[in-house]
Amino acid sequence: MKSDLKLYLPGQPPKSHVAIKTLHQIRHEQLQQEYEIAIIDVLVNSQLAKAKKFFAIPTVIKELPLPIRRVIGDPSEKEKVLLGLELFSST
Amino acid sequence: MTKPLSQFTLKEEQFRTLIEHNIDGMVIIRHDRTIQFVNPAACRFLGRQADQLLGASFGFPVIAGQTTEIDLHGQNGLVTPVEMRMVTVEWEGQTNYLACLRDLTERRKSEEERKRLENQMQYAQKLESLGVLAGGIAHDFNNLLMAIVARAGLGLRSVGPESPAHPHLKHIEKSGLRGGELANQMLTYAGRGKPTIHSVNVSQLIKEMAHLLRVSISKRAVLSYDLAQTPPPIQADPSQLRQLVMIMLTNSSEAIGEQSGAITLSTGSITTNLEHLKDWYVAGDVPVGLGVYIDVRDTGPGMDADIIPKIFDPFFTTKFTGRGLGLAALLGIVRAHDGAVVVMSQKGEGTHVRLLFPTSVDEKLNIAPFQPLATSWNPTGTVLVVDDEEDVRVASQLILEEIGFTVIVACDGREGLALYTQHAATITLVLLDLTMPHMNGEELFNAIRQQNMDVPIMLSSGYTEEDASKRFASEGVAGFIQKPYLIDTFIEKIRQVLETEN
Repeated sequence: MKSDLKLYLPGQPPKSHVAIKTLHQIRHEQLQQEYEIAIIDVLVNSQLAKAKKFFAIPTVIKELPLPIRRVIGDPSEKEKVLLGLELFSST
Repeated sequence: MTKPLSQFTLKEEQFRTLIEHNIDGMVIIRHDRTIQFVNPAACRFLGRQADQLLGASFGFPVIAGQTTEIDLHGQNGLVTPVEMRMVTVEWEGQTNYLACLRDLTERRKSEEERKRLENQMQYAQKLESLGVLAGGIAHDFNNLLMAIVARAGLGLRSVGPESPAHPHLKHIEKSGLRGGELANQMLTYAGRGKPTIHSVNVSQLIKEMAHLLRVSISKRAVLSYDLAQTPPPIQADPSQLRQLVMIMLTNSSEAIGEQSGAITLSTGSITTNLEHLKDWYVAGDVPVGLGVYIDVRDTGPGMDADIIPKIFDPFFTTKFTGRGLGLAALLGIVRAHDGAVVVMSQKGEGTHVRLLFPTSVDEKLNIAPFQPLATSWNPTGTVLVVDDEEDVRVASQLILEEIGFTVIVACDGREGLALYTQHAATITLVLLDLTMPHMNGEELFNAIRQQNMDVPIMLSSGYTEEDASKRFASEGVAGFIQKPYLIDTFIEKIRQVLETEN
C-alpha cells in the first residue's frame, strides 16, 4: 500500500535540514521505507499551502493510510512525531 | 501582604477575565487533535473567529524541549510567528493538551534589526580590510608604474618625435598611466581617493554631460531625463560625481545589452529614512533630513535578490569584459561624500539605482587656479632624493639631472640623514619617499628640520595625498606628488615648490 508523508516548511531556515533528516530517519528506521516523503516549501508553493488550510508551519501530514494525521511544531523530535502521526514501529 | 495562588478562590467570571485578556494565545486540543477551546488572543493569531476554530483539526503539537517556534497562518494571509509551549491538562474529564502561544513579532523584528546592524558592521569591517589591502597593493603598484612611466618619458625625450621608437615609448607611458588610474580606482574603492569639494548643482552637472552620456550608451537604449530645476546644492567633487553618473549609465546600458530598452536619469530632493527603504538594498549612510538624489532606472533584465549585495564587492562582475571595479569605486566615492547608494531590482523587472547625498547650505568654493606648464626653466642646485625603491630613485635622478640639478641619492632614511648632514650647505630641495626601512620619511623629515627649518622638503608616494597625510602628521611639507607621474608634471611641481619657497 502506498503511504505518504508530507512536510510543509517555511522557506529554508537552518533547522529545516534537521527536520528533513529526521523524517528520512523515521522512514528508514521505523517504516521500512514504505512511505513516500514530500518536502514542500510554503513560500514557493503558497497556493498549495493556502488550499491545505494550515494553522501552522512547520506541519507534517500523514495522508495515507487514513486517518489523516498532522503534527505541528518541531518535526525533528522523532519520537513525538511518530506519536503524533500515530505511526508505530513495525519492527 | 500577597496571598499564595493556592489560597485564591476565583469565580468563573474572574477566570474568564484572565483568559480573555491574556495576551498569550491558549488552545485546548483534544486527543483526536481537534480544537476544544480558544481564547481571543489565539483567535487573533489564527485570523479566525472562535466558531470557525472549535472542532477543527489543529494537529498534534510537537515541542522540542520547553518551547518551539512556529508560524501561525491566518485566514487573511497574515503570518504570526509564535513560541508554542504545551502542557497536558484535564479538560471536561479528559486528558487534553493546552498549547500556549506567545507572539514573537516584536522579538523577530528586533532580531532582524540586530542582524541587519551586525551585517552592516561586518560589511564595514570587510571594507576596511579590503581598503587596507587595496591601499597597499596600489602603493606598490604605483611605485612600479612610476619607474615604467618615468623611463618611458626619459626615452621619449632622448629619441625625439621622429624616432621609430617614439610611438612605442608613448604607448608604454600611456599604459603605465592607465595602470595608475586603475590603482587609483582601487584607492577610491578603499575610500582613500582625494575629493576636491565644491558646491554642486547635480542637475546642472548632468545637463553638461548630456552629449558625453548619449555617446557612452548603447544605440539601442533610449535615454531620457527628469531633472529637478533647482535641486539643493551638495558638497561634492564634480569629477567624481561625473564618474558616478558614467558608471551608473554604463552599467544600465550594458545590462540592456543588445535588446532595446530605456534608461531614465533623474534628480531631485527627498527626505528619506530607513523605513522608506525597507525594500531596497542600502549601502553607505542614508542622509538625515533633506537629501539630494541621482536616480538611474533601466528596463534591463534586473537581478536576483542574492546578487544585489555582491555587486559592490571589488572584482565581482557578471560581464565577460568587466573588471568588477566600477560599482566598487562608485560605493567608495559615495561613502567619501557621506552618502548612500540604494538599489532595487528584480529578475525581469529592470534595475533602479539611487544615490543619496546630504544637502549643504554653505558653499565652499575650492577651485585650484590653473597653472600653466613651465616652458623654459633652467634650474640649478642640488636635490637629495631619498627612496628605497631603486627604480624610482634612479628614474627621479635621471629626470632631475636632465633638467640641470645635481642629484644625491639615498636608499633609506638613515643614509638620507647622513648625506643631508654632509651636504646641508648645498642642498636646495629634498625629495622624500614616505615608507622606507630603518628611518621612515617622517622621521627623516623631523631629523632634517632639527638641522634646518627652511630647506624645502617634498613628499613623493604611491599613496594618495590624503592617505599620505594620514601617515605623515608633521607640518611644513613643501609639496606632494603621487606616483606614477609624468615627467612634465614632476618638473612643474618642483618648479612650483622652489618658486614658492623663494
